[in-house]
Amino acid sequence: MAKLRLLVAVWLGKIAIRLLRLTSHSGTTLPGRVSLKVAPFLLERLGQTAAGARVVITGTNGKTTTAAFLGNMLKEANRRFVRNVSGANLPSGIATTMVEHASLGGTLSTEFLLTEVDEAMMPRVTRALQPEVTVVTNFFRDQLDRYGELDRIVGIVGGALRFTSHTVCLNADDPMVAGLVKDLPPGVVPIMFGIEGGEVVDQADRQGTMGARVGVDTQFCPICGTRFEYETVTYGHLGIYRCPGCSFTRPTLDVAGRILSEGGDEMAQLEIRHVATGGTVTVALKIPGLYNAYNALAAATAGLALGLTLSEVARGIEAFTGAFGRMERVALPSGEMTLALVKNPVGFNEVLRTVQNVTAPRVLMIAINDRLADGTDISWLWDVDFERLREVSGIHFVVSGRRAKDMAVRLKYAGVSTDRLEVITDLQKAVSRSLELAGDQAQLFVLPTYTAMLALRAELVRRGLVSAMWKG
Amino acid sequence: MNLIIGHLYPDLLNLYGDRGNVIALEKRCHWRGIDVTVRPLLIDDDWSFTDCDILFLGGGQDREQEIVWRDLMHQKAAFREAAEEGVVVLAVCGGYQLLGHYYRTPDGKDIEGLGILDLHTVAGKERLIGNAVITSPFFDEPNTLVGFENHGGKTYLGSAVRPLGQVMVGQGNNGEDATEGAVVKNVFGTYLHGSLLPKNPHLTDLLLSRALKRKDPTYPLAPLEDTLEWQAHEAALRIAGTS
Repeated sequence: MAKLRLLVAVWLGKIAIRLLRLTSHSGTTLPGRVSLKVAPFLLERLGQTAAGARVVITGTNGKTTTAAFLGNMLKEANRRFVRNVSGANLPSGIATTMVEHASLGGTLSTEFLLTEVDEAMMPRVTRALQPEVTVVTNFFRDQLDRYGELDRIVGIVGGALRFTSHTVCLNADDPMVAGLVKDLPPGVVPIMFGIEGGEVVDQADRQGTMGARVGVDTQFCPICGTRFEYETVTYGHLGIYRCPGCSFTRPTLDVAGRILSEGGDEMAQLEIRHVATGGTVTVALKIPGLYNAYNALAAATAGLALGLTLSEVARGIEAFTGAFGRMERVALPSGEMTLALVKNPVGFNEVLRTVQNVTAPRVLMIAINDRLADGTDISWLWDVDFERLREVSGIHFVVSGRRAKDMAVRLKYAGVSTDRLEVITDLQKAVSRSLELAGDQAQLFVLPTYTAMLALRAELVRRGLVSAMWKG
Repeated sequence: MNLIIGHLYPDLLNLYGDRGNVIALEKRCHWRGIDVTVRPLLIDDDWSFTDCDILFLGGGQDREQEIVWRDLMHQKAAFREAAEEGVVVLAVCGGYQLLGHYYRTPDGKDIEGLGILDLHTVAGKERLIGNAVITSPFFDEPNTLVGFENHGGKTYLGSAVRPLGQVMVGQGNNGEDATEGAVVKNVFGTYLHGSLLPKNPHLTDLLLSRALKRKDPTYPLAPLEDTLEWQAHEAALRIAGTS
């Protein structure tokens, strides 16, 4: 009976996918929802049929990019895998991906199942998949109206880890993530990845305006509540820390990254060292941002756990030019557009740092929506360090989206001259104006929240600048 | 003219963008040629509340709020003295709860507050989350305040305070009596994030005028160009469904 229900669920899901695509809908979640209605055990049953390992990637920022990096590594190694693309990381999105790739007989004919998973959905998904490799990228506060406080989400992910098997890859530089070691079930091995300090330390960056540390979500030991002492900080609350109150320190690394050059306009160079084998490799990152070095490192750690060689890992990283809407570069008839999703203060700050490092004139379009998937509370914009752009010359701002006016006020109070600021609530018109301002002289950066990004994408498809995402 | 803004525990009470309130106070002074010093007041620092003209407290995570409550209890008398003397206080969310008599935890334990505002807070079963609009008797037209609330505690006012306003959209203090916030003398408490002050410039200016009046009753508060601020206010009213 269960087998029949599974088959019906797969078939119906497949039909739904076909119908939606025929009518030009992307259909990344609805078919899965239908299939799960018919067979609620679909994730368990189909997940088991992947011949190799199940990989789960979670954390606040970098899920999509890490999964995309890992996918590229597997591709370079000629291994077969299925991955939920375009950030559809709720059970419905994961089910859609599985159904799409399942045979009519109800099995996944693939070696690896790669899933990025929404933090709040971790218990449900890990229970179903019992993943052999799990990656936790970082914890930043994100969409408080949906997820609640940071401690709550850390607790949820920690609880979900009891369903993991074999290996869990943890970001040692994030104390909230490193602290998850205590939640691992017996026999599951943690692999710690992190970036060795050195020149990336920027203590000045931690002192925001007013002495309040901007964009640092936690500085206090999750075990005893004492304020951490940081030897180095890479960004946000990530770095080499030590709790003077108890014995909690940043763990020793199993996979160690080192930034050889931060890039700016050039490509950043990342050295990756696999401590167990002593192997070292240096890669050029095609996508900017220190946080993307972390994403590459997280994927490398998972890749090594899956048995890939360092050279396969390196080739996968170098072949990668950006995930859907995450520092994604879109070629324009003249010039280039960089599309970067923004959803929380730390992520936004890192994107701004990247924009700031570009030397050419810039047009910065920021599109803020406040729908459910964006977070209905936009207070977090006041925790983004826009003040850093005040002194940077040659940036023209276009703000858009349902909360364009809030964004405009934020920039005004950050000291951005209102002469350089245009408020165009309508997204289509804002895109037109931004393209016009950029011409072929300036670099165009477009920073949307989630639903604004989907709308922008549709607009770019309509203009023939990018292809539809499910073909992507 | 020079104003000193004391920002209490900016590293602990930093959860909901509440630092935007300090930025708004600071900027609106700068634009008027009033000198401002923002002084972060941190744990274990040696403070003098009465040196400050405005004190600001935001909201934090439960864990971090516990640390603050413990620290601030040592300063209870000093804080009360500052409030008595007419120092302007703005407290949002967790900071607002802290100014009351006590906070009753889910397991029925009462945590003592500063007792500056005649109110108490009881942990609720569900969080009250969403856009909020209130009308406030502290203003002529427009008399609306717009923001976003996200709180688990339900706050009940005593007779020695009056509410900051009446709820039009949202839950307010407790989701029951349609009150939002509490005010006594120059002490203002509210659940509204947003940040609150940047898109409610009339409230920012009310706080500034109260602080200035204490120093020089004749000091005039010059009007500013507020088109963007009021547009953001209007947009928030529309999104909340009031117009």
